[in-house]
Amino acid sequence: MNDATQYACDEYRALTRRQFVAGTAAAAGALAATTWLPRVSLAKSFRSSQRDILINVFLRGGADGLSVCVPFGDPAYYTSRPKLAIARPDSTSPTKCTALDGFFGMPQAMLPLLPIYQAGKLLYVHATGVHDGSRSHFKQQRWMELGKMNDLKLNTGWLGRHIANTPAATEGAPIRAISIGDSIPRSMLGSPGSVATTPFPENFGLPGGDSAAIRENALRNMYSGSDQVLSATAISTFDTISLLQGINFAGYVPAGGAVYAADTFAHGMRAAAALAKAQIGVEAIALDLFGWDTHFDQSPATVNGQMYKVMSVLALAMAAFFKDMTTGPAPTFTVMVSSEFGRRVVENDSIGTDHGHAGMMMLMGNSVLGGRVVTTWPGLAAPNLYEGIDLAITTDYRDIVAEVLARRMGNTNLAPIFPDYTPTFKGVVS
Amino acid sequence: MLKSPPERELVPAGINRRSLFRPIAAFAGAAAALRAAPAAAAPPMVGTDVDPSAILYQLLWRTTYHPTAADQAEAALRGYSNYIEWQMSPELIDDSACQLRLASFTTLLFTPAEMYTLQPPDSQALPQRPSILVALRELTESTILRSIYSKCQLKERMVEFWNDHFNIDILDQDQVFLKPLQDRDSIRPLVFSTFENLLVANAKSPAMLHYLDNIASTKVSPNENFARELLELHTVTPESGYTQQDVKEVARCFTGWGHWSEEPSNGVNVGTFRFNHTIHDTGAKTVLGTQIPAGGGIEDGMAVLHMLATHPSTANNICSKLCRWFLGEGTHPSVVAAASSAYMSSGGNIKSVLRVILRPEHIYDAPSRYKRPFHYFASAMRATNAAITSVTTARAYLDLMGQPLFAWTPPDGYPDTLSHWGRLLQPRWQFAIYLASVANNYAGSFAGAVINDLEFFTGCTTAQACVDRINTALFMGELGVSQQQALAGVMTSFNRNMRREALAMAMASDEFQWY
Repeated sequence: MNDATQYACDEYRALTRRQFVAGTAAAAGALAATTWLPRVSLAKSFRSSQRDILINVFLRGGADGLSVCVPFGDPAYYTSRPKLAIARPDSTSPTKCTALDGFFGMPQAMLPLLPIYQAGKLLYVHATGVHDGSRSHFKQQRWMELGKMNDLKLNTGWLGRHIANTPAATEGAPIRAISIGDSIPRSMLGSPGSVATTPFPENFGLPGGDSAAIRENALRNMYSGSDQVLSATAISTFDTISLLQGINFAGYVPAGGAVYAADTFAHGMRAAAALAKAQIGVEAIALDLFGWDTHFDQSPATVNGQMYKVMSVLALAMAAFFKDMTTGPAPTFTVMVSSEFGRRVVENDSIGTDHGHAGMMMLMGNSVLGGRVVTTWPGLAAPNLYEGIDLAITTDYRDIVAEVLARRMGNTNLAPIFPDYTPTFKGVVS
Repeated sequence: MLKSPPERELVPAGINRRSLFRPIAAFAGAAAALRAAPAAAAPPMVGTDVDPSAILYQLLWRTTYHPTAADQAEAALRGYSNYIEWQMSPELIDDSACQLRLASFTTLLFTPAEMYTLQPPDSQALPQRPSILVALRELTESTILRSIYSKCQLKERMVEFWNDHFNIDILDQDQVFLKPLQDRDSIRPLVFSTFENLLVANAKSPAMLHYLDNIASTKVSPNENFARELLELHTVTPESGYTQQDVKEVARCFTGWGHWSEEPSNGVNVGTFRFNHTIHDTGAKTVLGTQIPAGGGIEDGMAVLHMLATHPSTANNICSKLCRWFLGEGTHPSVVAAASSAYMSSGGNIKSVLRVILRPEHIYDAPSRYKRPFHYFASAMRATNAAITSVTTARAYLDLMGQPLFAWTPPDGYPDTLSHWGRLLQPRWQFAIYLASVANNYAGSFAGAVINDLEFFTGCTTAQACVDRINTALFMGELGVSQQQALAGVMTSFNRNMRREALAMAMASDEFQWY
């Protein structure tokens, strides 16, 4: 493609399939919304719990940690990325980063999160990841979400095992985990009882009319003798419809004047906030954000650059969620952000980056011991790189996940969560 | 006009095929024993004892998106084996009625050079030309229309299979306008050819070379992505024991495989496969123990493709996937082995493999399979003879159901398991209710398609007759008694709206999620 269309390649490159079809799906959804959702106020709170709701955000595609959390203090960063590196905080460049400390910086795309970082509620973990050298998207996502490597037969994820091994935060809650998407992420597999998945929680119902009760009756009957997975899904669907019925998604007003953008990810975070505040017993909510596989023309620093845009989507949604959930009464929460790998230290010939090894994680929440970048920085000079080319892992991602589960999610036994691994806490949450 | 199917007795009365065959059937013999006549404990019907004419319709469940009366008539006319042969030669089938529906989709016929004339969505260039998104839309919508209206149903099922096997994410950069070329040139004409032909065509496809970054692979810095997925997914899989070194060597073999870019001098070649010898690594290589001598050009990659296509691990991989596709997740290893044997002895001929997989005794033993969203969607349309009014609207439901077509990001393709797809029922129920026009107090269909319910229920003057009609059209008469009662119970009074309500619930039912 010529220059104009190469730019445009960035345009649609950032489209997730969900964003792309959002127009048509929203049109379909709008039709559904007219009929059945009774506009009741938020459900009364159940017996309250001291545990956080976990918002587990997975950045699909391999997010470049060196752009999300810029190691401006490492000279090799600039020699490795003459075109892609983001300028130091003390430079005169209009696209310079903002210092998080004396070594790491925040790119401009993520500045909506700066006040939260400065308030000590946002934390980065750097040089972290899963110890898999394949650099394969789906392999590393798989191992990371399962919590155990190289086990092709394992069909439960770390979050599913956590929920299975931990008493419900809200007694009798039929739905303890929800994926805001169209499938259950691997991390959630193995949750007992119902795990709901829905791309549009506000649209999760049966078009009603006069036949609503008859329909539900017929469907419950017809699915009662079904295959185990399907009958469980059918029951869970009705449970979910009942639960979500009590939540006025469309009329939900975020607290503190928080404004969520119009993209699908922000929409999902807004729904997550409504779900959390409705206190229907959901303990974990999963969301995906695609668009991080920046092989070509990565452009993290310039407005409307490919990576700039997806970082902006992430930061704006997280910032809105934080404001929404910390202004006025709301359940406590931890947002955890991770990705299957970081990206190659040196930029490639297309001013992008190839698949790498270590990346970064983020934690945001009421009890995050933030305002820091937690890392044992291995350095970006060639002798310190994994296989001579990639950022090395110095913190196993499971250390972070385990600490969050133990200290914020009520987990008292980590052994079944991470088979054959004993985590070391890094002091990231209280 | 719907005709009732020929008189048949596929399964002894009272036994619901569906309720018997939930995955995973551990032993084919046990499943077959359940099928015996209710009054006597007949011996299990394994091996070649199965009468093909008795299970013709079971074959149709597997080889179509839904067996319509027309499919049943064709199968009855030709008989089991000839029906399969007929479907495996789609070039000889008159599919002009379906083709007519695609007449306005001009990008389906574009050359690669013409694809490059499409403009990005926000282009200000003059003169204004169609957007690249048109190519995406036309590919997706034509695929939907073909699945519903094509007579070449087995071909369409195989197109879906190969598009998963050679997955390309259409939303990933230039794939938006290159993927349609891969579907048209590297998949569709070759679905019944040999696996090696499919493999070579896809390895040379600009869409694949882009998607797996081979266009960035040079002798100075080889890119391993394509090589890795070629070995891991497309052919031998890690079980064959290839090493990281093999991946590196394969990557070297494929340096230079790319496509002509759009410099003016390339003219009509733009977007077609190009072997660029200037960036090809001509050193000696060793792949899976085989020496590839120095000095080679495109032959290096072609030798690798031949080696992989003829490898027993590839036979096992392809045949395992095809067995699962047609026979289910618990297919007995002996069936996979028989199919692999046919693969190896026929040079990877897909028809030879399918003739083994679709043998009557294999179909007979196969448990029901859960429909993926695209399959479910197409089956609802076909079973009710729905008329598409807006493919774009209809397509939105595929997204809600979780399978927006060609938008699976990683190269392993859309999953084909109950555990992945069996968690999201609500969009299917919603779609069924919309399609039957019983949403919004019967104000009309919002599904982008309309069922002619007056035609569907012609001659049905009682509630039971309506249930029978639904049973015939959607379930080939196999709907269980309790399910029939549930449907009858939906019709609290006998009128048009209540009949449509029953049809909606039938499409939303557990039974209709399986084939």
